[in-house]
Amino acid sequence: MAKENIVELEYSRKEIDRNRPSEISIDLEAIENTERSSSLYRGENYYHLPAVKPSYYEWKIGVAFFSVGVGGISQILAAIIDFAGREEDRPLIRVGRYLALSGSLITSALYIIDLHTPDRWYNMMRIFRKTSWMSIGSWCLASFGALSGMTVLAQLVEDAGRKRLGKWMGRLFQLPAAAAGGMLCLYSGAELEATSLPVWERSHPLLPALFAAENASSAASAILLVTRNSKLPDGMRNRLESFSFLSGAVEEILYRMVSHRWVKHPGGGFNSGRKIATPVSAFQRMGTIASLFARILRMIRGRSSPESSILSPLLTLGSGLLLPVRVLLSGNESARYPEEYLSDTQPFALSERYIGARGTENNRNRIAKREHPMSPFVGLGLSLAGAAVIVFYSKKRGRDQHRPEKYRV
Amino acid sequence: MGNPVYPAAVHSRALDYTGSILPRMIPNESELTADVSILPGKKYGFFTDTSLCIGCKACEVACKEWNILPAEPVELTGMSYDNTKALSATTWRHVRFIEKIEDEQGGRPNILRPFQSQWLMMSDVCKHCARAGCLEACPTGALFRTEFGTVVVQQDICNGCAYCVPSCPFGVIEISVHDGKAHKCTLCYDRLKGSLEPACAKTCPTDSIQFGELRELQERARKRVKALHELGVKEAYLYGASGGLGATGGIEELRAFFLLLDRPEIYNLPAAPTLPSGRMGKSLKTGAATLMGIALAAIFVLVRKS
Repeated sequence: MAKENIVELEYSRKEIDRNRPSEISIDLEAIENTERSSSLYRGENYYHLPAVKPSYYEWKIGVAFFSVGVGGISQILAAIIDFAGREEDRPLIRVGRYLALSGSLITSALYIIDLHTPDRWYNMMRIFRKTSWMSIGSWCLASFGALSGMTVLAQLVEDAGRKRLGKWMGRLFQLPAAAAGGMLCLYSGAELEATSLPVWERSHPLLPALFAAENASSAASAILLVTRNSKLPDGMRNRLESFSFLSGAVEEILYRMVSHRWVKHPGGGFNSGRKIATPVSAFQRMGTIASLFARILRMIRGRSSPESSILSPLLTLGSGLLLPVRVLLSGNESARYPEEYLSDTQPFALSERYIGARGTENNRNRIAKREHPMSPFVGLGLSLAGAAVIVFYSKKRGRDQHRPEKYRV
Repeated sequence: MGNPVYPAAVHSRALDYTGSILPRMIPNESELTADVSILPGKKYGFFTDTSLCIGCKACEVACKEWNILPAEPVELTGMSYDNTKALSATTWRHVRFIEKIEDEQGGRPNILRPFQSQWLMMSDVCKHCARAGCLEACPTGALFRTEFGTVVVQQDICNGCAYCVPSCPFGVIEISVHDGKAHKCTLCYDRLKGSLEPACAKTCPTDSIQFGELRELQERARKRVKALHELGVKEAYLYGASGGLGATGGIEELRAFFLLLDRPEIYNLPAAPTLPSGRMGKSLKTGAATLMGIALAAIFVLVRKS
């Protein structure tokens, strides 16, 4: 065994055995607590050949996750304004519903194209398998598409003149559509976590939350971008930007927590930021921070030109688009390193907890101390501070800059 | 010799003895070759005893021949005798070779140890888990549990969504570039239906690969481990037995289990894999809580009092 790569590998923190101790029927003879099979794992592997297979998901699925998430959150925002917002804010519901429908259509198209046998796409609707996130997500996507279509229909009815009918028809479908949309934001992250790829498995349970926060900031930015030339209700533009940055701050927190888990062995082996995913991850991180700075700059200047008003949302959307792509690429790359997977799947079950007196010094799990670098907290602090400033500042100012109205929302 | 049956297009050099010498199939042939009758409703599997493996790769060849799998491009990998590298959509049996040239201190050993001296050989296959990650992940229902307790992909349903590929904790299943669907070992489902034992088990010259009813195989395996321990091979253990290594985290047991002579990572097997669907509940709860928080923030920020 090559000696140059022996590092103290940290054991996975998750509980391996889900059964309660009393229900485990461990065959002690079968395990045969020998030196070889139960001693500390020192990075042994089989010619560095991968132990699990990477997924086939790349940019198409990343873009699809982004677009369905934006659509889902848009529907939730539309629902909030529909049921709790003021009369003047109602034009935003139209924007939200159209974004939701287009998001669901784009995602469905991308999913079908990405299948390796696309002409059998309808087989997704053969069964509902509750143990499969992809099954749950497919059914949610189908119902979300249908319900969003109905809300758009209701919107058209309302715009055509039949206001009461359209409004109540819209409200009827809005809540279920928002519920389906919320599920869609979460299922993409959960789907990745419920696999065996090291990076995705280590992110458990934070990935759905991360994607949801990213979708929220992207959705608000998308609404801002779409309505850049229209007159929004007073103060709404600032509020949307505040919401976008607030979600962005949550996303930043979650991203730091998640990426901190990815790199377990700073000394060698796989580093999630190093190889293929690096350019993608660089643009993705830049986009979030740059968007924040663009907005703060604009606020300081006090001016609003058409260009500056789209820069910040555009940057947020760009980084939001790249986040799922980056997560997918990192996950696929982590599958190429058997040491990562094999160290993640070390048996806690052989520890004293389950076998009792059989546990020896060899079996005891040793957690390597990990240094906490300062840089994640700096980035986090910046995001939070920026979001707080914008939230409180915009609440104080409350008024929007007037610009010539080109389109009606 | 009866009337030989000549297949349609065979090269003239290969024509000799291609016909079967028997007029028809032997009914219940598995009772003769594997001492087991194959009945629907019972659980069957493999016991692969690596202490008997001679590394002849007859199992790889038989599997490819029976399932008409295409050959991979010939590539000499330098990884001992393993030129196949991994299980794939077109390789459903894969023999692993590990040469333990150094002893514990890093020098050359001058005493050969019993049983395979310094050589580990293992025929890897789909584990046909009792609770299978691939099966639980499949959204179309293409992957299903057969009446023999095995896991099989129905080729007329699979649409190549490839969610089973990262879900498998052992990295077994793969999408084929030739037809865009997922493929893996079927435990010779078609042969089982005809009461034949699987091709790899039938062809194995040392009976390293044993096919039979699961409980019987497990008993046989335990006896074999005891016997090896008595002979001085203390490192022998079962991988994939109920509650043991390889069958942790909700997988319960591997219907194709192994007797290994070194730690599982050396064979590229995870010591304590987990069933991926066990993580579903916590993911959803954490995500839903965050989404609730975001929705509340949205209400707080966007909704104004009239």
